[in-house]
Amino acid sequence: MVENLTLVIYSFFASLGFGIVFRIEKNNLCFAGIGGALTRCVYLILLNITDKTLIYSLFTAMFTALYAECMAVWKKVPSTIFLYPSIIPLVPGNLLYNTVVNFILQDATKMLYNARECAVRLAGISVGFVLISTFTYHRRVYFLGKNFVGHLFQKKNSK
Amino acid sequence: MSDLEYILDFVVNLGGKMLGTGANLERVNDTMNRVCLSYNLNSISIFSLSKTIIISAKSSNNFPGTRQIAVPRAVTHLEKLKCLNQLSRDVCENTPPPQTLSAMLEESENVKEYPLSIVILGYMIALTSMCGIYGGSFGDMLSANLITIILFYVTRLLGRPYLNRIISNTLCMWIAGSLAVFFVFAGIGKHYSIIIITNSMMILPGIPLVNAVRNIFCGNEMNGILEILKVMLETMAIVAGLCTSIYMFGGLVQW
Repeated sequence: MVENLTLVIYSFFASLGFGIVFRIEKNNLCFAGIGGALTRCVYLILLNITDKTLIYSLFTAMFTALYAECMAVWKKVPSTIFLYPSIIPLVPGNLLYNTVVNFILQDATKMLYNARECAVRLAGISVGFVLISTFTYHRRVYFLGKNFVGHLFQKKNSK
Repeated sequence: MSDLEYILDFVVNLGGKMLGTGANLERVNDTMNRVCLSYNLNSISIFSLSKTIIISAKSSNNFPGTRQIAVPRAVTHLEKLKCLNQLSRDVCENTPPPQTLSAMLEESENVKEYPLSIVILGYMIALTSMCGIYGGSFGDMLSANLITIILFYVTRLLGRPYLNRIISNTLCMWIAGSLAVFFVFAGIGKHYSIIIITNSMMILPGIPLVNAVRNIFCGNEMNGILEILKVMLETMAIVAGLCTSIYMFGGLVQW
């Protein structure tokens, strides 16, 4: 429990730090950190439920993308601002690194294991993002009319 | 210049700047399309990769125009991206005179920057936390932070003459690997691998990798495959730099 809490706190600061590196405005920095902490929470919860990499990375990425989209609507900024720092705890940097290191060390078993885990996690994250962005796209289209610019033309005509 | 040329200039430069600040390709295409539609352009055709944008469209009186640009090197700057996104929204909503668009684009880039010390602090907070996540000790965090400060200035120095990222990654990781060996040998750090994995997070192209896979799922296969290849080459360069340092100084510590 304490270990998990420490991980969540570390994730908050990791996302906050990367938020500064990505030059996020200071008003949004805290929300970027919260995104990272929540991502870690969901990741840890799902890790207790299932050991399937694809499942937990997919649902964690879906949660993160949803968080970023909700924050984007609330703060009226692009969702990328919250998505990039929040996803930091999920990025399989260590797996990617271990894959290539084991390739150079010619340890095929470890290399293949890391490569598979890395590929599956990336697929999960990407599919999670795509699912949520497709959903939000259709939600916006539903509320705005037939297409994104439809409402702009209506506005101009009504003038 | 005709109105169409002003609009296309604006659209292609806006797209280029958005890609250059770290925007996703799908969103950039969508933004460019929306701006064109708001000015009643038709037959809009956009072809974009992370390094190139080509756009062609016809004005309302069927006069055609085309623009192509090379996208500058991407440096993630989300505050600039926010301003560019806001500009695109304003342009779509108010459709200002096309002659004023270029000035508006230049103006939107004037954003408040963090001082250099704050950016370094950001790196230090991020990498200390990452080191903690990987199970590093206080000494490992200290070593990773010292290396981070050195790497920050080296990256800036190498970025200035637009040195190829593959070469700069090799050099950076050789420096990081050699310094990590030194810190472990001196008894400051304990775990060589944790220090190195933490520092590699600073240069590992993690987000471009996620974006590349996302491109493939979103139908931009060509860009996605090119980006994955680029990421793999950059990662290989990182490991090549690291291996060089291990071959040179690795005998000093347990790695």
